[in-house]
Order: sequence, then C-alpha cells, then structure tokens
Amino acid sequence: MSREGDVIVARATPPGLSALAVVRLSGPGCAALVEGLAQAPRGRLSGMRRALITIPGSGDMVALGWPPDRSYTGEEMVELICHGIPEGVAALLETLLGAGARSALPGEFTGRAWRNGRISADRIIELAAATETGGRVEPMDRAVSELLERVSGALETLEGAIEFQEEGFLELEDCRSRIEESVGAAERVLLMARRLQRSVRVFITGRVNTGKSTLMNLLCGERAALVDPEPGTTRDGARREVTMAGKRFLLADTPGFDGEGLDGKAFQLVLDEMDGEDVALWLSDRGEEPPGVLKATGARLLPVLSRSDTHRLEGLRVSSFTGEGVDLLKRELVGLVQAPGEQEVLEMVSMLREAVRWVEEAPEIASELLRQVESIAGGMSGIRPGRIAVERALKVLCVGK
Amino acid sequence: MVVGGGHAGVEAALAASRTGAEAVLVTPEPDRIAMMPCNPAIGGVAKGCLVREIDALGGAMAMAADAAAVQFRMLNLGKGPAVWGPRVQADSDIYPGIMTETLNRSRVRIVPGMVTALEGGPARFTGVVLEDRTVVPGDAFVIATGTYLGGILYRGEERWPGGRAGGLTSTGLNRFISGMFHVERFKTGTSPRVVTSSLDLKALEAQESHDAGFRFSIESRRPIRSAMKCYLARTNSDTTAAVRENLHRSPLHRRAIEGRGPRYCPSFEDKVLRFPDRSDHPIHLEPISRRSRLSYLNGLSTSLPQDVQYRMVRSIPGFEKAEIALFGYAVEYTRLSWGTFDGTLKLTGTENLFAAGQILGTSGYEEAAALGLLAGANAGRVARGDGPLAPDPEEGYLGVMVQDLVGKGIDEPYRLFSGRAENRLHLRQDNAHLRLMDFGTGLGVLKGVRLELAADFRTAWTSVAAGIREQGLEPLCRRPETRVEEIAGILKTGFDPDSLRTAFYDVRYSGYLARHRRRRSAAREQWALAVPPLPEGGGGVSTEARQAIEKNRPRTLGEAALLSGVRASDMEALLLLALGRRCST
Ligand SMILES: Cc1cc2nc3c(=O)[nH]c(=O)nc-3n(C[C@H](O)[C@H](O)[C@H](O)COP(=O)(O)OP(=O)(O)OC[C@H]3O[C@@H](n4cnc5c(N)ncnc54)[C@H](O)[C@@H]3O)c2cc1C
Repeated sequence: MSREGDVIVARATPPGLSALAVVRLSGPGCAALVEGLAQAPRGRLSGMRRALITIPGSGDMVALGWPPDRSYTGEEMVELICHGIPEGVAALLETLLGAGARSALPGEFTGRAWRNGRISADRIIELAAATETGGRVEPMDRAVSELLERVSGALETLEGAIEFQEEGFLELEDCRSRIEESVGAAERVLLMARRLQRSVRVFITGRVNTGKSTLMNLLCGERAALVDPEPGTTRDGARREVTMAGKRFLLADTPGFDGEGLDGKAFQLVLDEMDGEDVALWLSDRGEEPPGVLKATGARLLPVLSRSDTHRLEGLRVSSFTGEGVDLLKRELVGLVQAPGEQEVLEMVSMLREAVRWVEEAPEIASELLRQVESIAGGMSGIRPGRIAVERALKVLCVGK
Repeated sequence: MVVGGGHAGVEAALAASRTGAEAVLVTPEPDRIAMMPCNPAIGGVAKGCLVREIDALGGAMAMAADAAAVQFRMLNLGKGPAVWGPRVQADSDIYPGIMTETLNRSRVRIVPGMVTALEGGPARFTGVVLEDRTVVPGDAFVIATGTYLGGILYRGEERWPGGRAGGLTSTGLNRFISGMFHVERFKTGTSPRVVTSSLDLKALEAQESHDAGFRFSIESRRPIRSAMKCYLARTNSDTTAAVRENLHRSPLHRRAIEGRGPRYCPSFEDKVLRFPDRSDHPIHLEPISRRSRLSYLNGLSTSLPQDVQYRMVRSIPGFEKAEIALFGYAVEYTRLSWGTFDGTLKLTGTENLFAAGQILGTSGYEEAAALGLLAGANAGRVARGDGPLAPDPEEGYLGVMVQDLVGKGIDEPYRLFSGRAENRLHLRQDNAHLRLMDFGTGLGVLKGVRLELAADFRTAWTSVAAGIREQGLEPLCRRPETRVEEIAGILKTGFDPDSLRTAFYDVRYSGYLARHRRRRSAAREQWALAVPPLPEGGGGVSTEARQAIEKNRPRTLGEAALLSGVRASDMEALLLLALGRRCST
C-alpha cells in the first residue's frame, strides 16, 4: 500500500457557498489524470501552465499546473478553480475520485510539504493556529459568503438584462426579487454580527432609592433585582444578560452611590470594575450631575431623569410607573453599541434597499450599488469573485486541518 | 504605414494622417476596404458609445455608419442613458465605398499588396516586404490584419486556409510575427445568409425602427432614417434536434479547433449543448444591404456541414423553403498574446511597431476601429518624433478596453460590455465629445470642424449646467420620478436639448460617481505602498510577476502594476502582502 505516491485530492476552500472553489490534487501523475478527464493534450498542464479546461459533468474551469520544484507540497500538483456551488464541487470531486485520485487525509498536503522539505514544523503549528481562529467565526463567514453569493447572482442577472436586452430572457422584475433576497441575506449578516458582539455591561447607578432596581426590572422584563421601598435594599447588585434589537447587554444593578458601610464598600468595588468599554446610566429624579468618581471611571455616561411622573425636568425622562421613556432609553442603549463590522453591514443593507428602488427605472444605478456591496462583502469574506490570489493564500489553511 | 484595410486599418491610416504624418495603407484587397464579414450592424450597448468616442477623436466610423444606415434602434431605451445602446443596421454594400472615399479625401495612399515580412528590427523597423519582394519604406508601422494571420476556416469535415470566406490567408506574415512574439489561437464563427425572397416574412415578427432623431456623428447633417425592416424568428425543438444528431460532425466538438471562442457570442451548437432544456432561441433576420437579395441570420452562427445547416434553417417557421446562399463557418486565427503590447499599442521591445484590431484578441468592428485609431495616431506621432500616448480608462471605453487587454489579459475574444467600465455612469454616449476633447487634441487627431462642433457642445452644456445649479434644480434632478422634460419646462431660457439631457444626467448620477471617485482615490493611496518582499512559495504572486518585479525593481505597487507580466490577481496578492506587513510592524 504505497500511500505516499498516491494522487490525493481535496477541496481547498471552506465548504459551503462561495463564489469560487479551489480543488487541489497532489502526487505524481495528477496532471495526466486531469488532462485525461478534460481530453486535453498530454503535457498541457506540465510545468507552470494555466489552462481553461472542460471536465464533462462539471463544466468549464481554470486549471493551474505546478511542477514539483514550485508547488506547495513539493510534488506535481494541479489546482482546479471552479464555481463554488457545493453540488458542483461535490460532483467534480466525485469525478476525480472515480478517475483514480484518493481523498486526502486531514493534514496530508501539509504533511507531504513537510516531508519534501517545503515547510518547517513551526510553520505547521502556525497554520494550525490560524485554522483554529478561522473555525470560531464560521457561521458569520457563511452568512457573509451567502450574501456575497446572492449579491453576485443579482448583479449577474442585472448585467445580463443590461447587456443582452435583445435576448429578452431577463426581466428587471426578476432582478428586483433577487436584490430583495440579498436584502434578506444582508439582514442575516447583521444578526450574525450582532451575535458576535460581546455583551456590553450597563451599570445602573444613582443615589439610594432613585428607582434603579425598578428600571432594571423594566429593562429585563422580569423581576431581577430585589425591590424594596426601604432605602438601601440592593446590596449584591443583581446582573442580567438581555438582548435588545439583537445586541447583547449585561445589565448590572448597583448599590446606592451615597450608601454607607457595607453599601459604600460594595459601590467602591463596582467603580473599580468599570472602564471605558462600559456604559453607566446615572439615575436622578432631581437633575443632579453625575458624581466625579463615576466620571473618573471613563465609562460612557448616560444621565436619566427617573420618576418622571413626579417632576417636569427636561432630559431623558423615564418613569417606571407610567412606562414613559423606557423604549427611548432602550434605543439610546442600542445606538451606543456597535457590533464588529456592523457599520459596513448597515451600509450594505441601505445600499441594497436603494438598489431595489432604482432597479426598474435605472438599473445602471442599481448595478452600481450592487457592485459596491459586492466589493464590501468580498472584502469581509476575502472571497472576492475573481480574486484568485486570495484563494491561493487561503487554501493552505483548510486542508491542513 | 498601415498593414491591413479592415476597420482597424482604415481608422489607423486616417488617424495617422490627421497627426500630420504621410499615411500609406497596404492591403491585398483594395476593393474590399472596411468589409463587414459578419452581421452588418454597427453599435449596441457600450459598442455604440465607442462609436461616439471614435467620432470624438476625429475618426470616420460614426459618419460612415450614419450615411450607410438602413435601420436604427436605441437599445435599453427603457433604462437610464448610461446604458443606452445606439445601433444601426448598415448597408454593407455602400459602407466600404464610403470609407474608401474618406481615405482618398484624406490623401491616404493605398498600396495593393500582401505583406510577408518587415524590414529592419528587432527594435526599429524600416519597411514592409510585399509578396513580390518589393519593399515599401516607412517610419512607423501598424499591423491590422484581422483574422488573416494563419487563418483557417472550418465547416463540418471541411477545412481550408483563409481569413474569411472568399478571402486570402496570410502565412508569410504569420510566420514572421509568430517568430518574434508570443501568439495564441482564437476562434470565431458566422451564420448562414439566406435569400430573402425564399422566406415567408409574414410568419415572422417585424421589428420597428426607432426614429429618434439620433446620429452617431456630431458632424452628420441629418439624423438616421430607416429604410428597411428587421425580423425576429424563433428556433424550435426540430432545430436543436438537427444539431444534436450531428454534433459529431462539428469541428468544434471533434476538437479539430483548439482556439478559444467567445462565450458571449456562442455558436448555435454551443447554445444547444449549454442550454439543453431550451429550444426557442431568438434569431434576428437582418438585411445585408438595399441592393442585396440576402439576409443575415443573427444568432445562428454555426460550422456544421451544409446539409445540417439546411435542416436547421428550414426547421424555423417561415423558413420552410429557405435558400441558403452562403453557409456559416468557423475561423481560427493567430492573435498576439497578453504581454506583447503596451497601453499605447506598441509592441514590446520595439520602437515603431504597433498593432490594432482583431490581432490583439478583440472581436467586433467598433473595437477594431477604436484600437486602430489609437495605434494609427501613435504611429503618426512616432513617425513625427513625438512619444505615443495611452488613453485614460476613467474617461472612455477605449481606455477601458486597452486597460483590460494590457493589464488583465484575456482568455477569449474580447468584446466591450458596459459592465467592464468601473465608472459606467460617466461613460455615456451623450457626453463622449466632452470626455475626450482634451485627449483628442493632445493626441493630435481632433481638429477642424469636428473640434469646433465639440467645443460648441461644451459651451452649451456648461451654460445649461450653470442654469440648473443657479435655479437650485439639482435635488429635483436626483429624484427617480423626475423627467428631463420637467426641468426643460422650469428652465425656460433657450437651451439645446442634447446638452440639457447631458447636464441633467450628470446631476442625477453625481452622487454615485462621487462615491466611485472616493473609492478610486483610496485605491490610489494603496498604489503608493512600497512593494513588499516576496515570501518563499510566492504568497499568491505568479512566477511571471515575480520575475518582472525582480528584474525591474519597482518601488511602489503603482509602478509594479504597470509592468508587463503583473496581472490584476498578482496586484491583489501584493496588496495583501503589503498591508499584512504594515499591520504586523
Ligand atoms: C467569420 C467571422 C465572423 C465574425 N463574427 C463576429 C461576430 O459575431 N461579432 C462580432 O462582433 N464580430 C465578428 N467578427 C469580427 C469582426 O469582423 C472583426 O472583429 C473586425 O472586422 C476586425 O477588424 P480588423 O480591422 O482587425 O480586421 P479585418 O476587418 O479582418 O481586416 C483585415 C484586413 O487586413 C488585410 N490583410 C490581411 N493580411 C494582410 C497582409 N499580410 N498584408 C496586407 N494586408 C493584409 C485584409 O485584406 C483586410 O483588409 C467576425 C469576423 C469573421 C471573419
């Protein structure tokens, strides 16, 4: 069983939808194997050769031949770059296996590279680490590549309708529904992005008995903090994870600012904990300025006029009794927090909506917008359609797992 | 000195002569100048815009198309003007005559003869050698030999040399060029021509012409009026069955032809193979000329044997008794590979040799003519001791095309699409004369009446644009539902309708264009980054690019991008490496 000389094959790009997929073969005779399938002349892929080939059942693709002295594994290699539709890639792999290639074992490409002196052990460890972090954000990656796929698809339909109007096979209405689907896909990316955002801590601070715990309960929608009309009841600030508009918050009730003894110590501990990443609500029913010790923590301060049913002061008025201002406060909190990449995704959503508005009147404007979305989404995923160089840089990571 | 009298050669000779050089055109077929071997249409989406650009650069195609037109259509009229495609059906009998007259008027000397080689070289050439070994001397040269270099025609089992049906083939020059430069093979094909009177036209759908008062050239006096009709027919399952049963007789599918054909203009065989579920393909019946008895079957390009072509054609309703006068065929020819010429269309390593047209890998009359104009103007400049110039892709489709051919390289015959332009909203047919006035005068090809008319247009446009601004109409122009007529009503003061339309759409598109410009300037910032050291294994940079970089040692990414051998994909990889390095330090 001479395993080492086998022609091995594996998909080099991550599974799932992508604009392009790369399938790699390594081992002596792999060029001849592909040439045979494509009915291309012998030697077409020997040396550093690039060719457009057709493999029956899998259609057109680009083949890159790599001689042993130049290839990643140090063996004869071929890379096939085809459309990233999962079924198509699966069919291609099937064909290659049928023609005598064998599925690569995990890490086998990198293993061969190491055996042939093409790569150092340190580098293998580096690659493995990179693959690990890659695995953690996978659902987000998938959402982005799905968005990219849809936008690219919509753009292709639109461009077809523009360049080949006489063929009469593409209607702008069809383009419209495809762009609308892209809006859906972008919104899913937004959700994923928000899920990735680590929860932001919101400290509810104020003097004793300014309605902190009641507000906490209102924001959580349930009884979270111990409430007692007796001043100074809250000692162990209760903490609750809540989600507002898809964003995650960790709400923390705190002991009264002017508390003494135990309360005073507990408040000091809270202050020590706060930093610039956090948000502090400062509750007051008299319009009082937040104290200097709170400002000194660097937390983002949001003054709230509590018990608004008892006074007429102006500002962010909230009443736990009438419910006034609670929704406004929630919106303020949501606005304070940005998930990673959220700005870009929001921009994409709004450009796609604008594209829907223009598509029938001026498809050229819709197309311009889609192109920009495609380039943002491509930048986020690293699989820009036609961006073959990046595929090559990425390929090392996947098969090495 | 221009070799070849096709669409590229004609514009090349005329442009050279406008730069002040003495132009000579050598062609073996002086009575077949600017022939249309394929469908007799000029213009279309992006292509129509290119014809306007040729006009803006002083060229002849636009005026000739106006004069020879028998039908006009504005494609995409329901969409915005950035993608409007003006197109005419031209009378292919009178078009060559109009061009020959233009050449004579411009005092281009036409020398009959077949060029077999060039004298001098390898850097500086001194003359062309004809078949009878006479040498015609010259100071700069343009090769515009179309599909003739090593041309081989195919139909079914038949195979014979030629650049097109009834034409010659160029073997001597093919050997000469292939010995000096990298070349590849491309393939294209054409449809059968039928005798119009043998068809039942009532069974077909007539296509009306849009008489919109359009003209390609600002110098043409009267707008195009239509004289002839086109018709639309559809194939059916009998047509596709005829193809499917005979695929084994197709030279393409027997793999007799190795050259790559265009995907956007496939043979009918390809359509059947790639879309097996479809059999109702549209076929456009187009008149060849006023005098000719023949019509062209657009959409039915094929190289199947004659008996199969008969079966295909006669399966179409209305075509039951059709007589085929000329059969379709495929042609395979030599083209110069990527990397053999630069943005001025000068061949690498030479001082005074240029190329244009189909030999550069493009397809289409308009593409050929525009490239010819550029190559001819640059040859004229070199002959007079000036440096050659390259067009700006931000200002015209000519520049877009040259950038694609030189920077990206192509894998199939290249045709312009509006989607190839990064700033399509700016590259419109209505503002071609504004966009290219400076380049045209700088190049030395825009002069006389054409220049005056362009300048008048610029003045009119400037004043309408000022009117829109001063009356605060810009927000109104940007609203999707606003029509240009409304603005006309509000402006009142006398204005020229063409310049109003241009000014209106400038405003409508301005927000999107501004976004494009912002992105472009971000890209220019990246161009200023230093070229990173290339890692072992390449890091995604191709070997060709690596060699080019090691040899020329460019300092910035911008300089690297201009090297021949560095492709767009290499630039992406270089950019990643450069940015990655910056992050880690
Ligand atoms: C069969 C066929 C099908 C086509 N189909 C399409 C299509 O479907 N769509 C499309 O857009 N375009 C099509 N074209 C392409 C279009 O016709 C060309 O792109 C365009 O005409 C090219 O112009 P050119 O000036 O480069 O070459 P051409 O118009 O081919 O002119 C070449 C000229 O060079 C001369 N010549 C050749 N060799 C020599 C020599 N050694 N010495 C001197 N003179 C020489 C010839 O006599 C001729 O005058 C087709 C062309 C052919 C032949």
